[in-house]
Amino acid sequence: MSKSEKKIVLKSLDNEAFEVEKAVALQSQTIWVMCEDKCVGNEIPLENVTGQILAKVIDYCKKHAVVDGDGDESSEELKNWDTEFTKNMDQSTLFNMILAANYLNIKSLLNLTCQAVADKTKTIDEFHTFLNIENNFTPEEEAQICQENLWAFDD
Amino acid sequence: MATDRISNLPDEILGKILSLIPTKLAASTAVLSKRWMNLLPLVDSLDFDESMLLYPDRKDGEEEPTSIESRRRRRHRFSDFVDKTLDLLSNSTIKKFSLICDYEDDESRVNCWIRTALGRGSVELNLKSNFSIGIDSEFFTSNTLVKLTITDKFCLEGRRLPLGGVFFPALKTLTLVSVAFISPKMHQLFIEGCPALEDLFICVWTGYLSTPYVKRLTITSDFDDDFELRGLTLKTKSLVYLDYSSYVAAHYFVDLDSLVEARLDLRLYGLDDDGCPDFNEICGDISTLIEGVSLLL
Repeated sequence: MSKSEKKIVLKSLDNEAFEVEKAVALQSQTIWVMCEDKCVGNEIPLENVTGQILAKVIDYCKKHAVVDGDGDESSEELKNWDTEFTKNMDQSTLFNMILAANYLNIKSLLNLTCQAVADKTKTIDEFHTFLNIENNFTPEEEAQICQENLWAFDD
Repeated sequence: MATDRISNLPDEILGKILSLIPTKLAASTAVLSKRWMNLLPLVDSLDFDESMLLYPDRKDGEEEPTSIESRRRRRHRFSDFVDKTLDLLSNSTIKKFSLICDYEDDESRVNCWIRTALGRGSVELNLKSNFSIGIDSEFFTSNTLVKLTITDKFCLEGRRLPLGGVFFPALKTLTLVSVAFISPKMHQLFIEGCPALEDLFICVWTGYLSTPYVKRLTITSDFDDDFELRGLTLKTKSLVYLDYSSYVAAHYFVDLDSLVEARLDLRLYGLDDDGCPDFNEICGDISTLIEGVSLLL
């Protein structure tokens, strides 16, 4: 791929193609390495990300490519945008975003999405309900693990 | 039907999520399922808040424990919890360490935790206490610490201060809220021990600051009872930003040659014959401060 090319095409797992500015896509370390290492042409296949999630990732990268490096006011604006971005994401979208951010290696997006999970789980009950964590202990195991972890509880 | 997808995330991501929640909650996730049993050692950010441990499900109106015996028991439970967590993480780097103490605790034990956090490469340290706890300044030093916040009753004991030593060569942001120093000189030595300091936030202080390094300074007063009866000195020749809100001090001595932006929120006050605030009288002299800031005009 020639350095002068400004645009790049990202292709999702379900074959959806997104044409984006190179500066937007290169926020992903994974894509950056792909562009450097292989001569993959102008089209980058992303085998782990669906079109629905990739569209959101690109929204995030576009926003951050535009505003980064500006003054204080825009960093405040960017923060608000980030909050809105994850605010109403359902559980499934949020996890897919985490996996995508991890696979594409976009550190700030990974931090943002992990923080969103942390913000939604303030109690152990919320871990069960929001995250649907399945308790796979046998009753005996559960009694034992509770006993071993008494130090983490209050009584 | 929603499924348990979080448990399929890689260890490092679960560790990251557990690092973002209070350590008390992170530790209790071990009982969620087999996947979560041994994840605590992946946590690199510790957040110990004693009030959370004491009254996790306290309902409004419920009384707090008042007897000395029940306070002592709770205090020990908190200390045991911190000790046990630090033990479990004995091989890990601690990036961020936050400690909020509600009850008076064994000073040497608290100092041991701070020492452990600094020794494990912390970049951020946050200390807050409702009871007076003296930080042993002899080991209060770190080459990695970038952000330090000390609030309320933590105080710095000057007895074993290594005079002239550098304590925090990488520190960029320092916040001191009502922190008692054993003497104004200790305060000064502390600031001098942070040569990379860029942002300084102070609330309730000695009124004397001399540093050639600090670029941004915020001084606030809780306008209730913190009258600036003394003179105030700012020898801050590198300062580009000053945010100052307080009552007008008796007089000012300032060196603000590099200043680019200033925000001043000043209140006038006087004292009546009994030494009580009288807002019809006016004390203090603002002229030198205005002169210093007028370089901006």
